[in-house]
Amino acid sequence: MASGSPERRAEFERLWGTPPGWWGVLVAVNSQRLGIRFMATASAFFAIGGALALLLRIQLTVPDNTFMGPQLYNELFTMHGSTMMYLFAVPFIEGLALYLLPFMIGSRDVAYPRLTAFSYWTYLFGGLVFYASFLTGDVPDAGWFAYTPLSGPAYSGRGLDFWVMGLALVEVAGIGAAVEIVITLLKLRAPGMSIRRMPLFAWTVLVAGVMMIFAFTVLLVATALLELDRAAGTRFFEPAFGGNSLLWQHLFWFFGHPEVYIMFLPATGVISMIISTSAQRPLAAYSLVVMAVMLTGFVSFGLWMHHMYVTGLPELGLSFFTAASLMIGVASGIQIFAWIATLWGTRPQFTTHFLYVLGFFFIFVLGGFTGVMIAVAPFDWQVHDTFFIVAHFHYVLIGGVVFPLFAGAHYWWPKITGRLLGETLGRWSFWLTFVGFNLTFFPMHIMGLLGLPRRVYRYPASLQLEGYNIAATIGGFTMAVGFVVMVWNCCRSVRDGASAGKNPWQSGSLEWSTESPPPQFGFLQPPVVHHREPLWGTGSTVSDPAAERASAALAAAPTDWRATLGTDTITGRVVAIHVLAGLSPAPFFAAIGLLVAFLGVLLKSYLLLPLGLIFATGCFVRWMYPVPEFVRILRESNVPERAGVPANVTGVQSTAWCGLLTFLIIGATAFGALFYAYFYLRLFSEVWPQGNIPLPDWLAGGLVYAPLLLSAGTIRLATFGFACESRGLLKVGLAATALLWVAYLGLVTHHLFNQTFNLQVNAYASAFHVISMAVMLFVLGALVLWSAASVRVLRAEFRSDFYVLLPLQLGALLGYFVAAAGAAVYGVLYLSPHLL
Amino acid sequence: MDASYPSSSDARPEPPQVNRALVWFVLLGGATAWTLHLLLAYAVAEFGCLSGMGETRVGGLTLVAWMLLGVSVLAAGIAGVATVVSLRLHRRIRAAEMGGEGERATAFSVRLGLISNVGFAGVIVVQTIPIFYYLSKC
Repeated sequence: MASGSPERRAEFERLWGTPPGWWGVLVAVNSQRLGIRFMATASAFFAIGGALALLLRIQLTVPDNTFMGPQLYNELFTMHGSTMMYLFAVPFIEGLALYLLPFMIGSRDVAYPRLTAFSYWTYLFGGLVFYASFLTGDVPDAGWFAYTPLSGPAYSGRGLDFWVMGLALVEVAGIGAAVEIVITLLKLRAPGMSIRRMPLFAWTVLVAGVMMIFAFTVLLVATALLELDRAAGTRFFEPAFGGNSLLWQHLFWFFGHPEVYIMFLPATGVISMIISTSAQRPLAAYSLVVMAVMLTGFVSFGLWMHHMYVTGLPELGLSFFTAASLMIGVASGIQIFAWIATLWGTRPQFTTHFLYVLGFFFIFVLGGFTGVMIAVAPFDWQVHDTFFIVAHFHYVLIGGVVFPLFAGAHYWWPKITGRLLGETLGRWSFWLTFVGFNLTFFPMHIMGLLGLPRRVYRYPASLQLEGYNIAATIGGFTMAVGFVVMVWNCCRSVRDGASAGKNPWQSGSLEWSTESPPPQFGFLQPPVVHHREPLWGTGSTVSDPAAERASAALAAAPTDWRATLGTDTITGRVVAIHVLAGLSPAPFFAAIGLLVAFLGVLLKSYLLLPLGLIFATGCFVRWMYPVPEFVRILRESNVPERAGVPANVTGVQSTAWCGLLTFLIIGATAFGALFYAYFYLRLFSEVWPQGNIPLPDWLAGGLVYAPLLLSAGTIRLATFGFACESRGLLKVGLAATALLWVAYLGLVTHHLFNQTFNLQVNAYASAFHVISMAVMLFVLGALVLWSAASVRVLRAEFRSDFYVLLPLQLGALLGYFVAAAGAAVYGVLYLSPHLL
Repeated sequence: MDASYPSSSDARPEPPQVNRALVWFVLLGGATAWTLHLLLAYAVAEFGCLSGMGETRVGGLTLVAWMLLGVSVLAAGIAGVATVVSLRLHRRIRAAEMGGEGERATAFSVRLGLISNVGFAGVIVVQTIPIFYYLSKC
């Protein structure tokens, strides 16, 4: 589809291209480039994490081994787990999704290209912070889950600060990438690609993206509370001061269990795409598979407690989670049967990527089987914290995630590089990996059942487990050789691999319609979709004149601003032209600002924290503030008339509005996690407030929070003034809102400083102060956005366009949110202690 | 793959106009009911059992059991309503001839909602079963 005259193509290449050299590296925003960077960086971390695993295997090969001591063993298994869970699997999937989705759904790029760049840089910096711990000798040593009190200030040194700060950066990156993926899929699909024509990979990534938004936010809150305990002396997880160690486990596993499905669901999307291509027919039971994906996504949030069966929770509570744990197997089963039905009666080619799919079937079904076993609480009580669990989750994660990702890497490699991988080397790498994997992890089931505990650096010869361990170590090295063969295959392919052509596997999905490798603008003429498998579509189709017109218009112009078509979420009807952001160093520098802020906490140079945050905020403002010349060009453009749809839409149709709404959902989730922490602490306290702290004064609190509630009215006044073009009302509304927020910030600061307790007194005091400060942070953000919007609105005429109305809409949306958050926090902090 | 589209000139029933909010309810009603059920059931079980409500009996059942049964009935009710609405909408849409991709996409959403509502209702029922083992204790 990327056709056209050489002149037109050259213009598009100039517009969408990335400059060469280091400057190009810093300013690149193209999702192809960044997707490849995500995958390459994740692969590098995978190699490092794998090397750490081999060191662990060497230590466990023989009983009473002295290859390494307990401290180093703790550090290595912590870094191995953290690397694989945070730095490899999810970022690799994000990279694959960011690379493929625009092609797969017929878009030229993702919704917020600069956010993709920001996500990549924060991810890279997060990974580097993790590993910088080796340079200082303060390596994290509390496991990838960092249970308190082991990870608290009393038992862990600065290594845990590296872990928390690195993880926080990676979480920010993950949330950013998730927002990117979700909004791109909801708003930027090609005309005609309705909800029933979305490729299954897109469905799975959409569900995983939504899950990441909730799960990663809760983890971000949990790690923030942990770091506050470590650095600021709060007491959330300290039982001696009214805190609770189990609170960490609840918050962590509310992230941790969905995390497994965040990795697994996109992997099933890869499998669905490959099976459909291998069978050369559409996937069976599309609707059922989509339902199973959605069901899995939802129910996975209901399983967090099945990691906590041995923590003494009420049996009644556990029973709900056992039931939910068993039900999720049904959803996975639906997908497996759909794949079998698709393959039934066909003669698929046994290419390398298909071999990895078969490997996935074998390994994942075994992992799922042991998963159902440990979902049953009494069985879990017996094998908890033994090697049986290690075997189970490696069968699930390597079988259910790594094998599909390798399948996907082999399947899409020709599209990404334009060259085929060698089949012979591919088969060698598969069999070495498959045999090595089973040799490594199957014996661990037996060792676990025989009672070998995990996370212990040596075992006595009297257990007679040497044979199993030797086999596991040989298997580990065999698997490593398999990985090396795969890397060698990739290098050979890049150097002198056979040319792949557009569609070497005769696939049906849209990404195979572009050249290999694709141009950076993706599609010169945006495609119009008539079938679920657009490249296999046969039979007559109803023409869509509106879509054809918009598509043709975008093939000719614009050539001085980046644009793609936007469609309705359900029907796929073309509704708008979306302007996409171009090259900018701002995302890189914003990530630097965030890194400096986090390093300030890590190094206990607390001045760096506000400096870094202010610098990052400045970069964000620069990143989003439009260049006046660019605004003029857009306003004078005739592309919207030729396309028959508006450009720069406002309100719910705009990607900016949807992005902010998603950000507010993230904010609401964060407040939800904080409220959960508050009430959880309340539950286990005999008196509340704890210690000698008096009940909060609901009248004084009401006066503090009243400005926030009143601001909802003044925001309405401003928007009403704009709607009826009354400059007076508009000015009053804008100014009154800003003044009310400033008044709130002053009042709450005065109120907190005049409390008889500080945040270190006990867990209640910590929760009270931290929740109050969380609202302050949101109000500060709202004030910055509202001020920028006010300047824009007051300078301009009453134009209902992207550059005037939209900022006001965004400011109002955020303003209503802070008003609602203020009301909720007032209820929790000032009213609930009187009632509960 | 999609079947060929019919001619629009045939005298067939007009595609029904479906309220967009209703489509979202049909799509997410069951899922919301299940979320509500799990979170409330967990909160009642955890907070109720630890706060002593598990010791208080009304009509032979603990207060916690009564509350859990109430939560289950509420959640099952929401999922049930979502299922019935999706079933009726599904029948209505199926009876009419689909004109364009917009209507077909709506029909797909309703079918998806119908299947997922039945699925979530099933999960709620399975999660309710354990309550009957804990009617008189926590």
